[in-house]
Amino acid sequence: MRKRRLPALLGSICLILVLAALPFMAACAQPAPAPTPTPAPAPAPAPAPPPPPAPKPVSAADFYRDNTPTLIVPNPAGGGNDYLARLLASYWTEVSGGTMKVKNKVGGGGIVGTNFVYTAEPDGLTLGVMHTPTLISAWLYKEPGVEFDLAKFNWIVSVVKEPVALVVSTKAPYESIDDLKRAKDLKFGTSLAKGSSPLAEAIVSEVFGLDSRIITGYEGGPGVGLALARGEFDAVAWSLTTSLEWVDKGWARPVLAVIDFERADAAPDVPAIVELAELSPDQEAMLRVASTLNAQKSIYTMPGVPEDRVQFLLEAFNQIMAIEGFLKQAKLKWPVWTKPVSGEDMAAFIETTTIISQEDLAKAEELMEKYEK
Amino acid sequence: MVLEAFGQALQNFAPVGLWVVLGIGVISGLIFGIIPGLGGIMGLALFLPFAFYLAPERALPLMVALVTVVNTGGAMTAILLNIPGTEPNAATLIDGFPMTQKGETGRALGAALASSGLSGLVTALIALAMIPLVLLIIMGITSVEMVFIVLVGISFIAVLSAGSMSKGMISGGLGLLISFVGFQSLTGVSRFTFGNIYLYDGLHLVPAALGLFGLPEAIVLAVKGGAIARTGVVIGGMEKVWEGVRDVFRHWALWLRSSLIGYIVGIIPGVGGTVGCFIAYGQAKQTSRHPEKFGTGCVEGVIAPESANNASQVGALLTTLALGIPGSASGAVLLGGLLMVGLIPGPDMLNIHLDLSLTLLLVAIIANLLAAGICLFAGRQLARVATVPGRLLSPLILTIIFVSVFAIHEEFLDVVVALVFAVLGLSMRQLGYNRPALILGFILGFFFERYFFISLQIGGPLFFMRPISLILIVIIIGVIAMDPIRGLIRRKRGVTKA
Repeated sequence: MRKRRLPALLGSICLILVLAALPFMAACAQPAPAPTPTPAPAPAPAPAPPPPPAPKPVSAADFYRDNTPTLIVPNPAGGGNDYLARLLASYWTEVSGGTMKVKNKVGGGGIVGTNFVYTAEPDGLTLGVMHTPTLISAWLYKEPGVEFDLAKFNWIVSVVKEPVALVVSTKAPYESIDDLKRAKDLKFGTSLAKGSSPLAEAIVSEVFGLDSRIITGYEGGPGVGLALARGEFDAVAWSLTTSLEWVDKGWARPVLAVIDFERADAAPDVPAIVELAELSPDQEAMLRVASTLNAQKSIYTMPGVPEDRVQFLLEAFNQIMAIEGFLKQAKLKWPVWTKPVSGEDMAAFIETTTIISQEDLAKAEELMEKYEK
Repeated sequence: MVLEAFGQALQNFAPVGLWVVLGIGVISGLIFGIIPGLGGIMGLALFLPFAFYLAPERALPLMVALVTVVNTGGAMTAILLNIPGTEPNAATLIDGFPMTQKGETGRALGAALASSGLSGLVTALIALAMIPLVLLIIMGITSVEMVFIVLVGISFIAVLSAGSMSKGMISGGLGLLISFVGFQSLTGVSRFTFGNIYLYDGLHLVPAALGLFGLPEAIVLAVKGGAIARTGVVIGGMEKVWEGVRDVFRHWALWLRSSLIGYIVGIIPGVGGTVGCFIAYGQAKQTSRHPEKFGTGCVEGVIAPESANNASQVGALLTTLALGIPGSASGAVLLGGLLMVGLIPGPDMLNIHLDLSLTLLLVAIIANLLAAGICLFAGRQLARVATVPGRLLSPLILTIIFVSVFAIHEEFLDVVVALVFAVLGLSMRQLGYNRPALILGFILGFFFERYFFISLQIGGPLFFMRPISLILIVIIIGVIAMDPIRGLIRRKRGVTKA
């Protein structure tokens, strides 16, 4: 019996080690250097052969027709980024003649996928889609594991750029900013402890002098929306599109304000917070930080990609944005579809985020913590 | 209007195309459920690209059929190999695998398949009747009640631990501790990540579960030799499988109760089907005349969780369709699929598109029955897996586990996690610690912490002073106290007789 068990055990252990090592070996595989040839004795001089014809440069259009780019989604399948990526990929053939595939690379709240794009081969075949504020926040706050530099990406296009809007639950008895000012122990709700939503809520509390606190921990937009509908908290500052959806569903009262320096195109009748109160310089600085964290989804590729390929991508995605079928399907998810932001404007916007001082970031964190206790 | 929509829904089954996609969905769902580590989410994600090119009447039945039968496939692996094919099947292996070891594989398979298939049928019918009530239930259960629903699930660690309460509590506590690793969104603090981005999202469940259950069994099989079924047991043929089917009818009250538990837990977003399965298992043990047999290969321990997990899928489907809120993780992917075919989930699905919603519920019924039927006829052959020599089966199991673990995220560290949990699982197995209790703590710890801290923020230390919460607290006390009280009553009766 022992003799029969031992080979099975040894075989199993060997198999475990080989299987466990395979992925690691594949990742570490390097091509072996070519051996240096030994010099042969000098032959008689022969007539020089004609030089080979220079290879014809492949145009970007031909390149993308003949190769399949991959659009990396740093989130699980089924979410907003995933939907956008698959929608774009489905129209890529129409503008390029080639195909595009979508791959989910999750982890670290989007950091893993973004790192993957940043460190990929700069041939223009790896693109990424990101929920920009999440990665801006990770980059500004220098979260551990961040390898990318947002200022170095090649930005292609940005969509669904929208400010944060302030709404009140239909279960709460407040209908105006004045009602909020009179309220005692007003409760705001949000998901993460740091981000555009809690910062906007803290700014609203500070600007209007509200007796309020922020409840954190809900699971993303659906969790926050459901809690708002149930009346677990009184008000929330969330992306404008989603807030308007909640109003449509009867979960929230009409939007009270957008937390930004100007009104939003999607809701031109809703005042910006700067119209409702005089902001101090410190509050303006906080509002600037909050504005950089406004929701948007961006398509990008890594630094070092040949310029002609970047140009092709810029034109191709702009063409996709104008296709009627694409717009119709995009509006199913985002009924308020704002004009896309070009890659050049996106690069300029990222440039502005780099000048936000660490001091302002620290103040923003303190402000959020003040209302989260 | 409902009758008209129902008529239209039935007409939607006339084209052969719908039956073709339904069949593809069922077969795919079974495969994704059987292969450990894959699951419904990966299956749906693979079919999502096709959603843009298929009509809604073809894309949606395929996805719904896939997601509703994936737990049925997962039950096969849980019973045959002690590996949960999907998360909710972790409760099935507690009694499913011991039944295989006793040579009752066919009976376990028959019971699992019959309870899955029938619960899918009954809960889809209940869903039809409960459409107006779903919204009331979902809106009435707040984060405060969620704390206690999750706590009811956690309290069943005590039920799983009968025999050695301290070891069970240690296992459950270890599971809770492991669940706290990662970035905590409530405070923005990373815990036990050591600056490693891999641990930012916490330890992944699939490598942990496969490492804890699958690898130790494969290693023990290789070391001890023989086969899964103990030497000398007779496996039997189809008659054993049908006996398992008859068991479901014999225990019809348990099956119905478990289906309802799974369905109600399934319609509440943010809890997950696993909670319902363990609650169903726990109540099956608490209400059984022979609770001491649970964990040793008791057919009721298979009927309860398998009824609950398919029922929870139907419940989650209804929440996803009716509210546009994902009732489960796979519901989130299904939501994306609905948008890709041009449908907006929400009240419109129960008004303008009521016929499509009814079609999907009918698809869920038929898919469950079809999956159960397919697996029942393969039951006799599947039962023979228990007699395959370990030297042949063990390398195959190891290969499948390692490939599955790596394939999820293409992350080598997932393999390392599986190996670490394999060491833990082997040690727990040798020392008599309860592995399902650890997994239960691991799964539920995340939910408990989230809802507990939200509730504290909302209502302070007395947040639980609400009617539903107080009822749930009474249930929790009952669950924990039931075993000791029963023991006391038995001892007193023993003394009285003496």
